[in-house]
Amino acid sequence: MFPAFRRALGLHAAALSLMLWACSTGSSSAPNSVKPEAQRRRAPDFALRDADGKLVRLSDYRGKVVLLNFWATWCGPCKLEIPWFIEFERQHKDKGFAVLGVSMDEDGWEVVKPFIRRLGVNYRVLMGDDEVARLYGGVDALPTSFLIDRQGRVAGVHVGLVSRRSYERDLAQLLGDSPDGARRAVDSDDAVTRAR
Amino acid sequence: MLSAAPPGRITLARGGQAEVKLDVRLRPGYHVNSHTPAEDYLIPLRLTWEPKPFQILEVSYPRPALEKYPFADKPLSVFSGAFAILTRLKAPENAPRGPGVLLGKLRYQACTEKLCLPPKTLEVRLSYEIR
Repeated sequence: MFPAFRRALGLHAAALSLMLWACSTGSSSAPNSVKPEAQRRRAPDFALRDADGKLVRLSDYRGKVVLLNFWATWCGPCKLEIPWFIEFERQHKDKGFAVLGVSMDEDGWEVVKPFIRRLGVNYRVLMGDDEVARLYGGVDALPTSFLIDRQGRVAGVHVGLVSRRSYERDLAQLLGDSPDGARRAVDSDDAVTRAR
Repeated sequence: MLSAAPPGRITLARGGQAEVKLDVRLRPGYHVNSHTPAEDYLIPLRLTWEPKPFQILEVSYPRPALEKYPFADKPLSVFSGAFAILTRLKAPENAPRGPGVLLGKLRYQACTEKLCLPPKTLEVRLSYEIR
């Protein structure tokens, strides 16, 4: 699942590349990780299969705040976060919010399905691949989570375990955006794209 | 993250036994799950050798440490720092005489207190001579 060269480079190169990627998006893993809108860059779109085999694109979630969480079943810190994300999904799904889990397990759904069933995961989980990892800066260190705003831009990145409070603070800030305002911004983006 | 010094060359007679020591070192701040992890979702440390020409009698790991990490409710069985894995092997009576290289694989999965890296496999080479 992970490219051989990534395996050879190890964490430091991976973390460095991810941090550089995060910096280029104006994001960081510091507690106040939500950056000003002007510094946000568009989150790369991707298409991955969910547990039912349905093809899911990130762009399907445009207009929503998305917590994009890269994880694996063998990752202890990831396991700690999952109940938080279950709670966030339950609390905020009616406010235009969704958690998207991207599993980086080499053994695929065979290990992931029973795991998410046992933990009672209530949000959509996708099976990751090398391409989506590359799009998001390598993602060798797990967990890694990207906070994506309603306009489909990366508003923040958390590499490794951070506190639940950090996520709550970030989500409060991102969900504070008016959905109507966000819709107008999306329409405006589309208008700009059409005009080009 | 994890490195292993190449084990020293061994020489043994047909029917003889030898012990091979693999010195392993982890970068400070990292741990690997032991060969007997505390949770079933964790990937164990495992040293395996190709089956021929030797008979692998035993692979023994040091006593793991039970460490508490912020992400787990109970202490985890881990190795960190420097440690050694011992392999006891035997050359069968009909083993071909001469030099050779035995290939081994050390499978591990490393984490810090806050993040984990994907499982990796390190190749180990043991030079030997059977007389």
